[in-house]
Amino acid sequence: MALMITFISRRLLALIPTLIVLSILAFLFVHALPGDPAAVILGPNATPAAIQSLRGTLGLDQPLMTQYGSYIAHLVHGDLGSSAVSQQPVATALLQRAPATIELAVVAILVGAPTGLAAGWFAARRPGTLLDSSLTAVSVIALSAPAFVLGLLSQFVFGVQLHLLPTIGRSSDSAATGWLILPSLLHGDLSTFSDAIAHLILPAVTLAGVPFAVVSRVSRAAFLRAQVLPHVRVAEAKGLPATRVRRGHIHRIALPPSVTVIGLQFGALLAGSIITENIFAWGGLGSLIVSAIHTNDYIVLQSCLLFIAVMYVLVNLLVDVVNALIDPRSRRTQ
Amino acid sequence: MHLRKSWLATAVAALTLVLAGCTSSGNTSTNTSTNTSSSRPQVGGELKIATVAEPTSLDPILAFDSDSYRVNSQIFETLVTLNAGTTSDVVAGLAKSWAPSDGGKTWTFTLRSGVTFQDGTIFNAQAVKHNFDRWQNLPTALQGRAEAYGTVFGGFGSSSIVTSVDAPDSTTVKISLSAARPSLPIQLTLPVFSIASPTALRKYDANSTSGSLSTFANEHPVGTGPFELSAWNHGKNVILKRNPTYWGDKPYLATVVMTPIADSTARLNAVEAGDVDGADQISPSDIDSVKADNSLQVENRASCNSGYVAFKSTQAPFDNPLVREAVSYAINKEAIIKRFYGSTGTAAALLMPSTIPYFDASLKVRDYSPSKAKELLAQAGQQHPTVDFWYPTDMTRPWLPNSQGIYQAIASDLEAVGFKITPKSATWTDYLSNSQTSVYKMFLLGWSCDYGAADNFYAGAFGYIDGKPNARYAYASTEFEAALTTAQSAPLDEQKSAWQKVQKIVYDDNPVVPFVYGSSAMAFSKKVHGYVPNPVLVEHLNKVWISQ
Repeated sequence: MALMITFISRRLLALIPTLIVLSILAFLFVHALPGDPAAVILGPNATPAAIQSLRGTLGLDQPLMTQYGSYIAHLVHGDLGSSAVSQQPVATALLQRAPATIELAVVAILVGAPTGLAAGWFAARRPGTLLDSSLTAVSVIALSAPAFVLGLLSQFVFGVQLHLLPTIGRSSDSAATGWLILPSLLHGDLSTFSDAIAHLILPAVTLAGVPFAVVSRVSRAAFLRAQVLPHVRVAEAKGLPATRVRRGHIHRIALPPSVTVIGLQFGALLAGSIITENIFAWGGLGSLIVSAIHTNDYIVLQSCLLFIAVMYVLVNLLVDVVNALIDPRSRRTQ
Repeated sequence: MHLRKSWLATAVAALTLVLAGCTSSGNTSTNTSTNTSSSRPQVGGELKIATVAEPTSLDPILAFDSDSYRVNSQIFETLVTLNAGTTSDVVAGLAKSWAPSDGGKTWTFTLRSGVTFQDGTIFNAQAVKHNFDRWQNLPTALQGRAEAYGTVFGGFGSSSIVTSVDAPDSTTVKISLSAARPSLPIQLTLPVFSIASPTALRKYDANSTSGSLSTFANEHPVGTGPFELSAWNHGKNVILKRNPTYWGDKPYLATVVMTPIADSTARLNAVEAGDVDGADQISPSDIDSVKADNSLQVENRASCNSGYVAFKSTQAPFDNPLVREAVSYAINKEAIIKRFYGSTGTAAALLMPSTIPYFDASLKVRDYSPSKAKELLAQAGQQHPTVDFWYPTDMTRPWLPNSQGIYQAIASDLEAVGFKITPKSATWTDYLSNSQTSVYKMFLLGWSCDYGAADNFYAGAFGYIDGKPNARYAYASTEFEAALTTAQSAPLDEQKSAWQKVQKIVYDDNPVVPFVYGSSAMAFSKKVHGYVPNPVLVEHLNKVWISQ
C-alpha cells in the first residue's frame, strides 16, 4: 500500500513539468502561425490599424516572457481568452461542449474496450480456430472501415430502414445542452435518460469500432504471449487449477498492455471525433475544433489543443495507476 | 493461415451482401410522392431543417452566404422583397410603395406604419436612415465583409453613389444617388439590406472591430421579421421562435431549428429517418431515391447561378486572353455535368443563366476542343503553363455539389492540353477571403444570384469597388466598366442592348470560364406544407406549417 502511495505521489509530481511543457507548447502555438497572428485572425482585408488594435487586445505587442506570464496567470484562473468569432469566453465554450464529447467517449469506450478485451481473450484461448479467424475478420473490418462509412451505414440501417434509433443530435429537445445522462439518471427522469441513450447508441457504436479492434488485437497478442511464459508453464505443471493460472499469472502479465491501449484510445475519443460528430450533428469538441479551423479562430484552437493534451496526460496517469494495481512490478520500476 | 484468410474473405463477403441488401431495399419502393396536404394550416409545432452549414453572421450587412441569408430572412426584413419563389418579382416589404424621380437618381419609399422591432423599438424612417448611414460608413475593417454594399453602391463613404438618405417624415425615406439606378428596388431585396433595430445595433456594438463577430451579430440580432432568435448554439443549431408582435401574417410555426450537417448523405439519412423535417442540398445522385420514398417530397430550386473557373486577369499567364480562352475550350463541360450534376446541371456559356432577363442566347457554349485549346496556348507562347489551381474543400453549392471530384475532372482536362497543375485547396472561409489576394491565380468559384438580374451577376462579380476592379478577379477592362456603367443606368427600353453588350465583352474576354448552371433540391417530409424554395434563398417561413 505504502509503495502504491509513493508511486502515485511520484507520478503526480511528474505531472507538473509535463503540464508546464504543455502550457508552453499551447502558448507557442499561436506564435508558430506563419505571419502575424492578428493579421491571420483578421484576414486579408484587415487594415494595419485593426491589426495593431487586435495585437494590443491579444497582448502580442508585449515581450514573449511577459505574454507567457500573463497567459499562465489567466490560465490558472480558468481564463482561456475569448473566441475571435463568437466572442464567447473559450472556457465557457469548452465547458458547454465537453459534456457532449465526454458522454460519447465514455460510452464508446465502455462498448469498445470490454468487447475488445473479451474478443482478444477468446481468440487467444483457441488460436487458429474458426472463432479466432472470425474475430480477427471483425476487428480488421472495424479497424479499416472509416468512421464515415460506419456512421452513415448505421444511420441508414437503424434510422432510415428500421426506424429504431435517432440519426442526429443528442436529444429530442433541440435546446438541450450540457450533461444529459447522469443528471437525468440521478433525478429519476427516465424519459430524458432513455432519449439521451437512444441518441448515443449509433455514434457511440461507430466510435467504438476502432477501440474494439485495437484492444482485441493487442489483448489477443498479449494473452497469447503470456500463456506460454515459463512461470505459467510451471504453474500449470504444478497442477494449479486453470482459473487460478489465468487470474494469477496470465492476466497480470497480459492486461497492462491492453489497459495502456485502452487509455490511449480513450484519450483519442476525448479529443472529440471530428468525423463522427459531424455526421451525427453532435455538437461536441470535434465540431468546435472544425468550426474553429474553418473560421481561423486560433484562440479556441489553442485552448482545445491544451485541453486535449491535458486529457491525454490525465488518462495516462490513470492507466499507470491501474497497471500498477494489476502488476506490482510496475510500482517499483517507475 | 489459409484457413484464416478464407474465413476473412467469407466474412467480408457476407457483410457486403447484408449491406447490399440494406441499400437495395431502400430503392425498391415506388414513387407516389404527392403531397396529401390537408388544406387548413395548423398553428404550432417545430420545423427542423438540416442545413449545409452554420450562418457566418447574424448581422445581415456582414453576411454574404446562403446559410446566413436563410436565417437572416426570418429575423429581419427588407424594404422590398421578392414574391415567393421568384427571383425578380419585387413586392412590398417594410415599404408599402416606392417611386423613382430625377431619372432614377432619387428613390422615395413609403414605409408601413405600426411596425415594431422585436426589442420594442419603433420602425420608422429614422430607423431606415440609421441603417443606410451605418452601411455607408462601416468601419474600414468591416467593409471587406460587406462586399454586397460595395458592389451595389460602388463603394463606401464618399465612393458610394449614395449622396444622402433623408427621412422627411416618419414614413418616408428618400434615397438620393449620384448616378441613376433603375434597378435599385430589386437590389434592395438582398437580405444584406435588412433593416435592423438601431437600438440593438448601438447596444450590442454592431460596429465592433475587435474580432470577427459583434455581440449583435452573435447573440442579439434584432429585426422586424416573423421569427426572432432564440439561441445560436455554435456548432449545434440555430433556434428561432415565433415573433408574437409580428406586424404581418403571424407565422404558423412555434419554432424553427436549423441544424448544420455538412455531409449530404447524413442530411438525407436524417430526413429519411424522420429526425428532421427537411434537408437542404440533396446530392444530385440521391434525388431519384428521395422521389421513390413515399414519406418524402422533393422541392427543386430553379437555377440562378453559374460555376466557373476564375482567373486573376492581371497575372501571368492569365493576363494573356488567349490562355483564358484556351481554358474555355479545354474543359469537357458535358462530361462533367453528366458525371457530377445529372439532371441538376446544364452547360454554361455565360456568367448568368437563360432565365435572367436580357440573356443573350446568340452566345453559345464553346465546344469541347482540346486541339483548339492547344492551338491557342501555342499562339500565346504558353504550351505548358505552370499554375497553382485552387478549390474549396468543405462546401456544397448547386454549382459545385462535389468540389473535389469536379476539380479533379477539370484539372485533368487542363493537363491534357498542356497545363502543369499544382493542386491547392483551402477551407471555405479562408478560400473566400484569400481568393481576393494574388496567391489565387486560377480557382474554382461560382456565383449564386442574390436576385434575378444581369446586374447582380456582372456588377456582382466584376463591378468596380471604390474605383478599382474587384480584387478577386482583377478584371480591369475600361470597355467593360463603361458598358456596365451604361447598362446600370440605361432607361428601360435600352437595357436589353446595353446588357447584351456587357455579356458579349465578358464572353470574348473570358475573365472567368463558366462551365455549369446548377440547381439544387430539398427533401421534405410530407408533413411540411407551404415551403416555397427560392434559388436566392429568400425563403420566408411564416407561411410554412406542419401537419400532425
